Amino acid sequence: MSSKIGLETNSWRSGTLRPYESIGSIGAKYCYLNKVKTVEFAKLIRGFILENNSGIFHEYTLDNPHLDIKSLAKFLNEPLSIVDKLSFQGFNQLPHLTNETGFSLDGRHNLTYCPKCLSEGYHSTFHQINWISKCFIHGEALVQINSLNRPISKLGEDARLIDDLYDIWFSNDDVWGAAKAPYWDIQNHKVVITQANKIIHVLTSTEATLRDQNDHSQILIGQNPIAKLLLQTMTNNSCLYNPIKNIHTHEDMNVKSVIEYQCTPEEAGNILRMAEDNLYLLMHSRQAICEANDESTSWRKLLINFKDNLMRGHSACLREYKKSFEKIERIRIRHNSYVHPPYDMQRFRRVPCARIVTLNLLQIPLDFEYESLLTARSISDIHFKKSGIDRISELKNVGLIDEWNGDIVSDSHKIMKRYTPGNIHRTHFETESRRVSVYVPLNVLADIIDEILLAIAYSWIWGLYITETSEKILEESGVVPEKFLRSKFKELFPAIILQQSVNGLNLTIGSMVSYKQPNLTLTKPDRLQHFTNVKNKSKELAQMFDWELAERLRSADLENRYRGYIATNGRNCH
Amino acid sequence: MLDSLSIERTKLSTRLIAGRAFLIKTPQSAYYLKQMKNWLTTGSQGALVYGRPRLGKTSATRWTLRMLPELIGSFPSVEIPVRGQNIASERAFFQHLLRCVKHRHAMVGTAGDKRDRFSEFLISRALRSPINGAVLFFDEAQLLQDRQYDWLLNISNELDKNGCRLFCLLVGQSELTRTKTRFIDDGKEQIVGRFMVRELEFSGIRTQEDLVSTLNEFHKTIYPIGSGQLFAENFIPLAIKGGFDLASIGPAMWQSFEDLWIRAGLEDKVTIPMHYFTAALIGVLNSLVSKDKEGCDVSHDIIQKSITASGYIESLKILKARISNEISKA
Repeated sequence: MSSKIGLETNSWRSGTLRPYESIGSIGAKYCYLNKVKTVEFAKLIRGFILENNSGIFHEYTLDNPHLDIKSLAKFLNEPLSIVDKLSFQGFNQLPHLTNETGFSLDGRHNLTYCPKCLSEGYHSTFHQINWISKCFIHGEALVQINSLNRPISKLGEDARLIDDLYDIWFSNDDVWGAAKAPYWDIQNHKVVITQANKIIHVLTSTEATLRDQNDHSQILIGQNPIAKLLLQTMTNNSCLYNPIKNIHTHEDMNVKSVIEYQCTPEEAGNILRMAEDNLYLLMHSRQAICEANDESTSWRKLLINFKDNLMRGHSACLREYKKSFEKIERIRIRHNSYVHPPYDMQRFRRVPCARIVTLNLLQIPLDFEYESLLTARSISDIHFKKSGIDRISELKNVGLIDEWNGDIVSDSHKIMKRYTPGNIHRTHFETESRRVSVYVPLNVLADIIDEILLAIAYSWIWGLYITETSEKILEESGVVPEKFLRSKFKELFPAIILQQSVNGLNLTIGSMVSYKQPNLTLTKPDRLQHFTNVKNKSKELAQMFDWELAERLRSADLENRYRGYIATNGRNCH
Repeated sequence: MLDSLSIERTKLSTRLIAGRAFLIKTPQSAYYLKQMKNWLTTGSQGALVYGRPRLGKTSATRWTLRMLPELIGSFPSVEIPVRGQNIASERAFFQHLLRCVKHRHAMVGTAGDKRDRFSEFLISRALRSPINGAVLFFDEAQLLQDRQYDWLLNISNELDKNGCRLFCLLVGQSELTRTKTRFIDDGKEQIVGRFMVRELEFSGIRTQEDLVSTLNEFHKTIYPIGSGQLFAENFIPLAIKGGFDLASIGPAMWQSFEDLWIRAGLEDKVTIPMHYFTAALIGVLNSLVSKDKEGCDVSHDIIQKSITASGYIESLKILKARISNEISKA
């Protein structure tokens, strides 16, 4: 079919195609010049897809290996060298990088653009890549707008952007001044190609390094694949000149200086052979025994200090909350009809002070019995399934792990317990403490884990801070704070790379947050104002409760009075 | 039974007669080329090229448009055959133009869409040409309807607005001059002024020198392209190798054509339309196939028979009838 299209002509302006131009950009221009609808352009592109196409629709339409590039170039009367640079085919398959970091060039579904590029009539596929937040040419922050257009049948996801770009460029005159001019400036492609080549070079050279390494020369940890990609490319290329860093979504990622841990090659080899999951299990057990033994590690000190900081200046709020809660509980219990108390620590609007929600959320990372800093598994799993860790005997032999038997105190994480009377009941099956037997890290492994836990602890506390400061947005959008916090935590989770060095191991941490506590202190006048607000909100919530209770009692009374009427369908009505 | 060489010769003959084999330079087309160059480089926006049927206007125009880029650089040109179709609407008219350029989207959209699409097609190409213009070659232009000139005017204005120029080359029968006169009478000066200021009356071969020169061009032509053999070698390879030159039959051919012209009782200067000349030449070559040898001799009889078979005599009768018709009308 494409050979037939090759004989046809069209009204495309030859020489205006630019390297890495998106299908949205090409489609919008094509539709404008040919005065046709998107459907015609879609038909055209489908015509260039060879018939032996497997039916898999690629993320980017022009990335389809079955697309007849030569015919497309001939049809548009554009040089093959430029048409060839419309796809990512040269570097979208980097298996080692994908395996290590989850690398992909997947695009955003919404239109993401550089305002400067758009004003020059250019939109690139690079602008759509989900881990790029700045223009690779101008360095300007990319802007994202919601796309209401549906995907186009048998074309990539990116084809839906055609209509968006058409509207932006050709339905108004503000964005691209020359859009409706009889000719478009033929831009210099050199800058685009140079900038794109820098990114491609970093990715392909990282891939080459990973390919040449053996399987156990590094461990890359992280819950954020995009951050992992950045750290991986940065450790393999000079950080200062890494072009990806400047345009990456996590450009603010702070790469800590490399920490070198001296150990024997045997110890290093055993650590590097550990699976990521095993490392998480040992982090969890490390947290548990540090709590049990009250060990003074940097991450524990940080969490305790952060908890104190959260409560400082809010003791009056918490007292007020407790007093009001107790009062409501007393009323509720005295009356027969059940009305739910207005308080809910899961929602900002159901507590008088936002800090109560934050303190409640802080219990998640502190709950090493079930969640821990890493949200891995409950301590019971580690306790009962010790075999979850591979190669135990080898790790034991080199002194990297050992079995720990001891008691851990239950519910030690429950900060809010003493402020929420009456709703915590312990059954007689539960005890104050429980005995566990787990494998714990030792020596150099414990040191490495402590450093990683510190980085994770910082991610938690900044996640909590951001959640609290997003109080209004969350209330308006109806998003549950815990859900928001968990997604934020995932986003802020550090990327960590552990690599073999001459003397042992090198640990590099890419932290998404600053290694300092957020400022939580209120000035004296602010504190007074805050407490007045808390009292008012407490009053409002109490009134709400009163109203709901009264409503319930009234309806219960009516029900009693008219029970006969309701039951007999009106026949015994007096 | 026909051998394969014979089939090939028949194919070649019919292809040449149909004007699909190759285009040849004639003195008339060389003059046409000179005129076209002049028109395009002096800012003209159209011209009338008219003449009797079978003179070779279409082939000469095609040859001219093919040669012009060597003189003034490449430019877009579109051949639009007007064949008396009933193209009453603007939508259908622009659809026809888009189909002539093999435009992918010729069939979709409104009249406005099609007009804009065609304008864009021309503008994008015209702006890249050294003359900043595009040429539309209307074949059988005498069949264009009045409103179609208005639509062409719109396109021309559109190109003007965008900094380039449309040149409408109106090629057709002598009626074209009458259309021009009618437009002047009707006050449609904008059309005449735009497209009909320049004129060229096309004629066939009119002198023996022209005829010899044309035969010489035929002789020099290599066909099929890339074969390395002269066109005449397809018929008389031995004679050509022996030094036979097609131009050598020129005087005899001219004599025969002139005799027929005089015998038809026509007073004007002898005119040989390219169609009959080509047909006669093919006839001669086919007649020589069986006599092919080094030192080939072409008899006067073969030439006369070939000219007679070409239909030249019938065309002279028609011409005479037309002239007497015109005289009686006058």
